[in-house]
Amino acid sequence: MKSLHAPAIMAIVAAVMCVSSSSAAEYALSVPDAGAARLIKVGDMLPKPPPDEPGTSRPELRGQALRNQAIGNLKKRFDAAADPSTHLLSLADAKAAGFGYVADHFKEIDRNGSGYISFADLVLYLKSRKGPAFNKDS
Amino acid sequence: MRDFHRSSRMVVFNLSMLAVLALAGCGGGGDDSNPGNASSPNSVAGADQLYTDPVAYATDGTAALPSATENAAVTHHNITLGGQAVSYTATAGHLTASAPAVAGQPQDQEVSFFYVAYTLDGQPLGTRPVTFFYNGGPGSSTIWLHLGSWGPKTLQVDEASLTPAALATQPASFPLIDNDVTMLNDSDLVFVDATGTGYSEAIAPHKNADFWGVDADAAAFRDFIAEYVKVNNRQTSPKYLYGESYGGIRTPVLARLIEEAGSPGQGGPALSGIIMNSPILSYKTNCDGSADFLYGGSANCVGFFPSYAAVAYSRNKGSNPNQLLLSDYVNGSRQFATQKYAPADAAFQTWVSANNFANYGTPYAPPDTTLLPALAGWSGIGTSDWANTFDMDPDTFSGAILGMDSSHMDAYNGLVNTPANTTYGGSNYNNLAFANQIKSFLPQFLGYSSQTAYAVEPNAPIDQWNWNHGDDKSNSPSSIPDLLEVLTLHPDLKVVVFGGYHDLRTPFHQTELDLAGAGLTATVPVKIFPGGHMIYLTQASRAPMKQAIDGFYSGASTVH
Repeated sequence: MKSLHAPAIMAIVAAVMCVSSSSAAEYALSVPDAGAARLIKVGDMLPKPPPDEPGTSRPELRGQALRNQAIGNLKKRFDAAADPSTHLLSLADAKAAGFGYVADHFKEIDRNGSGYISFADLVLYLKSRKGPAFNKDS
Repeated sequence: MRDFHRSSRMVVFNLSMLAVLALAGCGGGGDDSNPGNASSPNSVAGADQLYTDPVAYATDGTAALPSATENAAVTHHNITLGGQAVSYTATAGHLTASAPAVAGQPQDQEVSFFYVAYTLDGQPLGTRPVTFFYNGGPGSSTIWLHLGSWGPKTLQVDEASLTPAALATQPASFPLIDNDVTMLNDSDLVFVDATGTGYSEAIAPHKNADFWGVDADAAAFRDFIAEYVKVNNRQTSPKYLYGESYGGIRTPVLARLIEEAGSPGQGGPALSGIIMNSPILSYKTNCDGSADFLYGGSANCVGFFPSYAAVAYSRNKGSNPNQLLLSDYVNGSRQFATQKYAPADAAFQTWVSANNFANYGTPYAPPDTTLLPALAGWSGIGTSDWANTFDMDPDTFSGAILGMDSSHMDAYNGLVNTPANTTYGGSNYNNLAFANQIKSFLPQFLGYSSQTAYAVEPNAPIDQWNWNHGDDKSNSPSSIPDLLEVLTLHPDLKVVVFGGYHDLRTPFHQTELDLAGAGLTATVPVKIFPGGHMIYLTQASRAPMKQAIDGFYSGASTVH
């Protein structure tokens, strides 16, 4: 179904890229099929991105899936800063990785005072602050 | 040597610089020597320092400065705020954004950012906020916010009274006036131009195009802010972001990066609040482009419907038998959109996409025969318009409500259009006047002169923009996950969205829907005012919007 539009859309993208600058508004043709041309304004403020490359589209997540995505992104950043084998983060590691947020709150996150925190420790800390990734009622 | 005089650390560390500073007229107050009690220097000791920038700036993707300096023009001005005469300093020049330091590696200088800062003199830095402003595009300079919104001087425009006749030719100028609703009483103001716009340019071996992407652009802004804070000793100041339009993508990403980087020093807050003015939070849900389901995406145009109603109301074309006021009319249209239009549009989507879009082009007759007349009544256009374009995009709506080619509509404000015989696009009506003004404002008011023309809105950034965002390799980024994450790190972060009723680019209801989908309706208030994308260009909305801004700054946190 979507391939019906792809060749026309590729032509549109090419046309958009070739439009030269001017002080007037710039237009590109969007043609769902050969018959019905619709003009879309591009250029100037808030021009629109090109269509997604095939296979790259991602939906807007909602609810728990969105919360999981936010937590997953946080975990990636944590793991990038932490020791690769223990997955534990020290204050020095946090500072070296530019993860200043963790460094700022290290004492509160490191509840047993071991000098190392796990991602689970960070999650517990964030849960206690009741931010929207952990609070369905926000 | 830096020309501006706010760096108290410089005064402390290098006494010989004092002589140089005094000679240059930079002398600061005695308070500068103690960062803990730092206050911004008093203007009495400072003479204006004009600056003629010898550097030529380029906006193409391969452009790069061989090196960068942090020079600026510094001028001193007076203004009356709340009945009191006060003095402020304007600083126009460049600061170098460098990547966060990596132990054992030399400093990685990325971008020489051009900025204009307005700072009230003699303020205690620990309580005096500083706000960083940027427009969107991507690829727009920050000229619109700088000269049109909350700076001490502003261009006088009232979109509500712009008749088509007044736009028969593109206006060459608007009056430049003292701003009676400047935000200078709330906060110091720093207007920043994105890479490849204004006079901002990448530093070799980087090039401009390296920063034309969702993630790289936000990181460079983070690094600019870090430099501004460091050089101006604003570690303890409350810091705010004010982003417009594409700034709705940039702001949550930037805010997350700033919060992740933590306190800039002296235990000061990383960030205190973010304001998003007519934002787009997600390109996945805005139907005005390839994301619409008709073009293979998943968006639909329901989010635009209350904006159509607002435009119809204010153009006296809506059906309003109960003589509702604008906000009540719009509330009614929102309710109708949720209860009737949204499910009907979903049914239309199924119908039109069946059998490889076999029905595309055939007028749609919804099973509920009251629907087409109701749509027409709210939106001021015809039932046949709706039957032909049931998932109604803003371009088709514009043509229908104007009764002429949609190019005459100012998509940024559906109440503004050029008359039938003009050839320039309605959405560009203010480009010439703003561009003309910055040419004289920079040297005459700010003391900054350049051989290069200020790049208002170059085309290269948008043409080469990398729309990927983190793991999302689509061209439809969303900043919603970033917003969720930054609020999870900092639940008390103040957030507010301002929208214009008549904005046909970033319709306010789509932002409401995006926030609702994220469970953030109670956390992020959306305040709507008569006006378009640039709400502040509607005269009657300036004072109410300023009042909302005052409340935002003085409040401890956004009402949850």
